[in-house]
Amino acid sequence: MRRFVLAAAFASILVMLPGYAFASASLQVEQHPTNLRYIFAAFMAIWAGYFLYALFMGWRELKLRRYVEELQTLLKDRAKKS
Amino acid sequence: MTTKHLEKINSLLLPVCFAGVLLVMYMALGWAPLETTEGHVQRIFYVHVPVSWSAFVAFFVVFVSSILFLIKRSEKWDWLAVSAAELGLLMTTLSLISGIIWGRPTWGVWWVWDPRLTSTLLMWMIYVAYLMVRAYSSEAGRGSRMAAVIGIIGFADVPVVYYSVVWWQNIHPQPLIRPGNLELTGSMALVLLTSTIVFTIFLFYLISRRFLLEKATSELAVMKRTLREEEQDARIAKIKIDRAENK
Repeated sequence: MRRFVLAAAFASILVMLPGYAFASASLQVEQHPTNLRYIFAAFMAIWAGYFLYALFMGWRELKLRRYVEELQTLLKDRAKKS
Repeated sequence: MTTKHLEKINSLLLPVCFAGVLLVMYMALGWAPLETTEGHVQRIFYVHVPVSWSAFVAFFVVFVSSILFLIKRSEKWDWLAVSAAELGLLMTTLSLISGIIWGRPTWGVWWVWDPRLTSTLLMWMIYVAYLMVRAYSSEAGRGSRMAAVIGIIGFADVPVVYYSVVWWQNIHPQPLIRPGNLELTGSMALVLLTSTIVFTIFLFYLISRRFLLEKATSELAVMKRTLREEEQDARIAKIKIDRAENK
């Protein structure tokens, strides 16, 4: 999961920077109201949403790992008692 | 399908998703032609429409898996339903946010009580209720059953959201994708189609990851409960033996 979160973070940066560059380059050529900040905000909001969800899944996996550790301790205690 | 199979498919899907996302970004922002009426802000549609479509797909998965859960009482359908509901809610949130951002330069306001926007907000609330019922239910099984009922009844709002722009024609644009008809042509249609495919693949990837997480959490909780019960039984048995020996 850590790899997944890192990949998501990396991909967000990877996607946003060239995306912004593409948009700036293509929009500057044409004389039309660009509204670039709205385009940027919409794309950013969507990728940020995906990224936050990936973080949330990572946090849940961390909780699960702690759960497994708890179970392992429980099993060890039982083995010692018996 | 076993967990290993699902994990293998996931590992193959991840690079496809990232490559697809890069392709969509390039196509939407750099390759798609300028829309003459709305201008560049129309490019938001290349992510807004696929995200909204993904929400519909996710809620359809919730609907089907909730029915199957109530019929078969198999936990795997419940895991699938909650995974899809969570993703559907995320997609609806992103759809609302991107729509609001698009609305400001196009309509001049952030929000209007248009039938499409209102019914989408209602859909969002239904699935928030779905997740809240599960989270706050004192008994896990009961919460799952109640959520399944909400998942089935709540799906009735999905066609209302889709047809709201047709039934009550208002400020929101008409649907771009209709059965057997695509309103866009040429390269714009190609960008929208590519984006929709990529977002749908991404949705299924995330649902399957969430499903595996839910499965592991549920199985571990059962294991922990069993171990605790066994430990308690052992303690009671020991007390009984001690008492018998004392007598």
